Amino acid sequence: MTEVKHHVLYNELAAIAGSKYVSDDDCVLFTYSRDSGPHPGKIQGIVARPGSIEEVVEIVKLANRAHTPVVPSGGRAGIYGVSPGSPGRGIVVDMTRLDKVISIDEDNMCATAQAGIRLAEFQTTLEKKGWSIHTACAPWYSDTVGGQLSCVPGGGAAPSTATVGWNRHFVNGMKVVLPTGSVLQTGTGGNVGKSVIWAPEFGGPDFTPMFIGDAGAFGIKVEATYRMFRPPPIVRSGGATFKSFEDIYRFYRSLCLIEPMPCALLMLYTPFSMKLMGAPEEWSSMWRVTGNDEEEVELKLKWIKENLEKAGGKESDHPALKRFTGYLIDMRDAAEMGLWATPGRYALCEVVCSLGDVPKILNTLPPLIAKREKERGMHIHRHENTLVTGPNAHIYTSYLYYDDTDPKQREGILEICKEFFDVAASNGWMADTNQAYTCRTAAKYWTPAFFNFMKTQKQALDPNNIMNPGMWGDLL
Amino acid sequence: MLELEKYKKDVYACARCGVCVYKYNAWSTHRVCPVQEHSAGLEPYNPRGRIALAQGILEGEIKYTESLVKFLTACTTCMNCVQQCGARDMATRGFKIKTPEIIEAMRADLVNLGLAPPAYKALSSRIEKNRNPYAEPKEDRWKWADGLNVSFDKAKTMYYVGCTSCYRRKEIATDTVNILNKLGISFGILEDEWCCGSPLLRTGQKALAEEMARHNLEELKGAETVITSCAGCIKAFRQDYPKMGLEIPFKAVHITEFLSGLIDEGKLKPKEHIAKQVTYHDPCHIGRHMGKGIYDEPRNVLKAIPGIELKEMFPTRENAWCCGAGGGMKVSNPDMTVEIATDRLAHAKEAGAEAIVSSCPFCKTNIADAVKATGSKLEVYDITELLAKSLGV
Repeated sequence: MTEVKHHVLYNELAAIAGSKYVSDDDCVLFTYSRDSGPHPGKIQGIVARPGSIEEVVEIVKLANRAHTPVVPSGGRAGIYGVSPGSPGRGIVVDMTRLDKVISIDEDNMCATAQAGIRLAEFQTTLEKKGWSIHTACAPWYSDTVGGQLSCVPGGGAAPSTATVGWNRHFVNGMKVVLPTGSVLQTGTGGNVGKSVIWAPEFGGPDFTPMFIGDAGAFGIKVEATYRMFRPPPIVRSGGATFKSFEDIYRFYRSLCLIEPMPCALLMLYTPFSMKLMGAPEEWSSMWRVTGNDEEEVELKLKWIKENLEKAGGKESDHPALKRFTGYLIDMRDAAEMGLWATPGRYALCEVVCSLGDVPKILNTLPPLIAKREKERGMHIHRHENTLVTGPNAHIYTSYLYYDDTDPKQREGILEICKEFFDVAASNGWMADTNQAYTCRTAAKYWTPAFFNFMKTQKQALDPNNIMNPGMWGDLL
Repeated sequence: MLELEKYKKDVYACARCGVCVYKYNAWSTHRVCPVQEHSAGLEPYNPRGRIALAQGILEGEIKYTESLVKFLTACTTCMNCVQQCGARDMATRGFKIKTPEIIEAMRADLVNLGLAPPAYKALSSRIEKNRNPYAEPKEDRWKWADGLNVSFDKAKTMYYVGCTSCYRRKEIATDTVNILNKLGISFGILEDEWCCGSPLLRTGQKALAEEMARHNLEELKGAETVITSCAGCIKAFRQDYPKMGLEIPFKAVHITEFLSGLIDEGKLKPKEHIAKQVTYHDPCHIGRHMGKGIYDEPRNVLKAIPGIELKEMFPTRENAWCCGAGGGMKVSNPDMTVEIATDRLAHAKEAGAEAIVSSCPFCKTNIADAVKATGSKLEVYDITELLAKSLGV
């Protein structure tokens, strides 16, 4: 019988998490080596799936003693590549066993869950009690609380993002295992035993925002406390088509300039995106309106219709458009089932820009794609939209579908993404994810002062540089 | 050429989004993969991880080795992952990624490369020798029929009993025969009935399965309708045999379809009152695997029985939680199958049922094993047992 040669830390990790939950099998490592996107994988040395905060702490302490990088892993639905870690050596810490809702505090309107819980499971658990939290539009089913808070700036954009902005405003605090193995509770102003309520800076500065969008470089999130709210009982959605970009932009812009916006969600689709969805090939907009009573909702819909008429748009009852606007009632299916998951494997070009830059950004990617299509003799199907996430933050999204059985298409897609993110960053449009590739691209555009500040913080928190090293470029 | 190569397009259609691992909402499903929930939960124990392994094999990054066996055998092929997956054909909305078929192709590659696990080898050797997966003597196949009014002559309507009903769940065979007789249906049973081959196909052992299929089809020549008790058998007749290129010259129906049709025609009217709150467990092979799914027919039969109160479990119908026994798991991972079935007991309890009813002898066996293992008070029935009781047979 062949003797199995284990990772040097196998026995110690097995003693911490249990041998059942630790593996250095090549097959296991391979499945943790890639995310959803086309970026090349990185095969680490061992995987552990801890079942408690104490186990996470012990793993991090062990990693420090052994100077071995740690790569935290959540729902694994990232799109911009996995953490560099240390191929062949690093420890992947799969957080999905920490998947419990810890408390639902109705008096203080907040709920705490472990970081490995999926957003949908957390949200559904609260829904059963009549509460809701702001989680991401997508991927709602797959993303964990920890993954979303680490890898999406602002902690993600909620289905009501046009009116409430980013989720970070609703994260009261979190518990983080720091790179040295100590555990920090944020959102309490530093007072031991103080509950995590909506008054975080009282008694000391709040460090919660520092860990949101850190790409997991500052520690491993193990718990998070979210502000709860009663979901509005009435949700409506609708869609309209427009003859030209000028018309749809006039409509889109006019709604964005109303404060507060009448719609909780507002999206703009290009004609070819609509064609891909089986709808008429026209500029189209979809919206989601919420309210506490019919009167409120009707008033909001009236504003939308008035602006629609002024811009020359027409409400559409085409079955395909209706199907997709139907999905907007419950965003989960819009995100996972109805729109972009449908055609298969894809790369994502997604950045945030200002309202004034929406026309410009819509004309940025097409020439880059056309160039590569001509060079490589390939055709790229894509799906494109913009989404309002607040008064001056608009997410531009383009899904580039490719045939992954053809390595040349994968290479072509990666070239397009690289070029797009460089052009975007030079215009001040930043990726709306902090994942391996987008982190490195963002870091290229940091000012020296910002870089030095980041480096100082990272060194102070992580003296042995074991926590997701290299996420923000070679020096971090 | 690897069997897996045939599924390359499916493998590469996977966007690795993970909905096949976790989909949690209030109206359809609470989590997706039973093996993910009852194993160490590492990635290769879930559908996305298995597809990643397939991609690794196709790209030469992973080789078929013994270490792969434990991951490829740990899948019930229940198809819930496919049901929840968002990758659909744009025009037909049909499923794009047929994960169970990918798993079966990888298992076939293991078999062809001489890497089949001992449990698979033992299964095929039992079927080869005894024509049933239970190592029971061939001559004992019809022992349950002693004293019953059963004809072994060829008839237009044939009852294909299946190995589990013949050897392990004889009450299902007995009750089915009694029901058919009570209804005055003229039917025959094959004297030389062999295993349908489903357990072999689920474990990647195609050659022997084809031998079983050819034999059964030869024996069934002249039949116009073939009724099965087992969800696995009906899948074999309707889906697996045609995939082998074999022509099915008869209509294959599951017993619940047959009985439901008679109820609709007014030819079957259960009389005796059975005061029981029951829940119905949808077997994967007559549910998700059947495309349109046989969901309404068994419920129609249950609702026709006076006194039966049907309480639906969550999840149910196309989102139903697998009992855990499928996909060769009962031989490769027997403990895990029973653990998975305990979930179903919990679902039944939450639904307020005192009995769990299914329409597959294999599901009944596994659920009954879970009842025994946990000491649960839940009663377990096949649908034909309740119907027979209500008909007074």
